Order: sequence, then C-alpha cells, then structure tokens
Amino acid sequence: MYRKFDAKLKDTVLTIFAGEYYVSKSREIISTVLGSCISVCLYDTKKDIGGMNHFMLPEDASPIKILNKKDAEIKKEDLADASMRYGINAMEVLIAEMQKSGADRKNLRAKVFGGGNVLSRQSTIQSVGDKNIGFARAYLKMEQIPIEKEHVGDHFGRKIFFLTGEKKIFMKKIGFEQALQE
Amino acid sequence: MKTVFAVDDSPTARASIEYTLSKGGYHVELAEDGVIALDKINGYSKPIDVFLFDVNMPNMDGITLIKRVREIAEFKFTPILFLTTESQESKKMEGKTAGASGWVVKPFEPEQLISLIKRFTGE
Repeated sequence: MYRKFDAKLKDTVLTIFAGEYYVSKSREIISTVLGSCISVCLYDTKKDIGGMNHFMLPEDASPIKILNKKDAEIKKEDLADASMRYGINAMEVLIAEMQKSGADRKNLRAKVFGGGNVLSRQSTIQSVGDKNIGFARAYLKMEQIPIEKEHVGDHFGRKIFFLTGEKKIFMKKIGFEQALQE
Repeated sequence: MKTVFAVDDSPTARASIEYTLSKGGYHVELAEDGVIALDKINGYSKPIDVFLFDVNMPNMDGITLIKRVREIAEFKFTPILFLTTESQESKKMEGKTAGASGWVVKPFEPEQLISLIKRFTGE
C-alpha cells in the first residue's frame, strides 16, 4: 500500500493492493483498483471507523450460489476447504482489525465492489468474478453484516475511493486492461 | 468422546470449528463471546478436555476470558489454545502470561488443528 496526494480529491489517498487491507479511525480515503477481485468496505454506523480489503478466491474454488443475496450460502462441507478458508481469512482479519480499532460487530455495515468478468458470460463454468461475489455475499450473510450497497459483476474494472469519515464510496468504471496494469 | 469448548464471535468461524472437530471425532460446545462462555462453562456438568478461544470478541475478549477460566480450580491445567487471526507478538505474550497453552494463527489446516489438540489431550 502507499499514500499519495490526489490533486482532484485535494486529499491524501491510501491505495491498497490485492491481499492487503487497511482500517482507519481518522477519516481517511482508502482506494483500490478491482478487476475480478472483490473489495468489502466495512464501517461502524456509530463511529468513525472504516476498513477495506481486496481479495480473490483461488481459481479452483468451488462454485457458490450467487443468484441473489438471500440465496447465497457457503456449504458446511466447504468451510474446511482450502480455497474457502483463504477468503474467510481475508474477511476475518478485516473484521478483527475493525474490532481492535473499537468497532462494534453489531454496528458493522458492508459495501461490496468488484467481481467483474473479463470474458463475456457464455461459459457454463462459474467465472472467478462470480465466485468472488458469491463468496462475499454468503460470508456477510452468515456473519449477519448487512450489505448496504453493492456494485458487482458486469464486464469492467472498477476504481473505488472509500471516504471512511463520510462512510461514502466513489466508484469509477475502468477498462480491464487498466485494472490489470494498476 | 473428548469435549472441545470453542469461543468465537464469528458465526462462520464457529461453524468451521464445529465442522472440522466433529468430523475429527470430538464433541464440540460453542459460545459467541467471553461472557456467554463463562456462563456456559460454569453450568457445564461434564468434563471439558480442551478450550479454543478467539482473541478479539465483544463483551469479553479472549485474554480476559482465559484469566477468568484459570481462576476456576477445575480448569487450572486444562489446555487452552488461542485460535485467532491475531499474530502480534505482544498479544501472544499477553496470552501466554494469562495462561494460554498454545497459539494458532488462522487460517489453519484442519489436520493441523486436530493433531495439535491430540497432542494436548494425549491421544
């Protein structure tokens, strides 16, 4: 991750990369660029604590039901699966860090971004992007953390800016090539 | 059948521990935070062979919980392992000082957790 002054936003922006996470208690701007990866942005409704992760399940992860948020579920047998544990860990460290910063689990809300698909959706095999979306929805449902907003799937990359103080997110659609380069 | 008592505030973590350990042949008791755990432990009439605690939890964290459990004569020497995403050395030291028998940083391999528990139960 790195910090850089953004002329447009007139503020310092902290950018995170795949596999990283960041939690802020001091009204910062956290940013990341997503292709088929997922970012879950969490915030505490009553305190100025916000955090973001950026992760992807391994390619061989088992498919997850993603029809809609209500149906999403991680099967019990899959909980011990290595690829699932990878995603679970990415979420657990973010939640644990939020709690250490003083966030209250029951006041946590989520905004979910990413999971774009590089190729057009014709294949019957579930794409990596869709698996990631399914995982994020199923995990948050299991943890009883409401998803306040999501912008996922489709055929483009995304650049997001999370203003932790305002609990707001600005999103820019970007091309997949740009998402890969960054 | 040996009993493992696990405390974690994450429903996913609890489900994952329960699945892994019951498949490994253990009876699993669960609680979602330190306060609920203490209540359950005090009212539990059968023996508990191993405890698994998370560190960061609401109401009562794992470090406070272990101190309280160690005050109960019956559990003075019962193996208590921390199973957590917390990898900070200072936290580990705090846990050890409070009476932890071991510290497992997540994610864990199911087999690894079971063989560690076996080491403590002498199976």
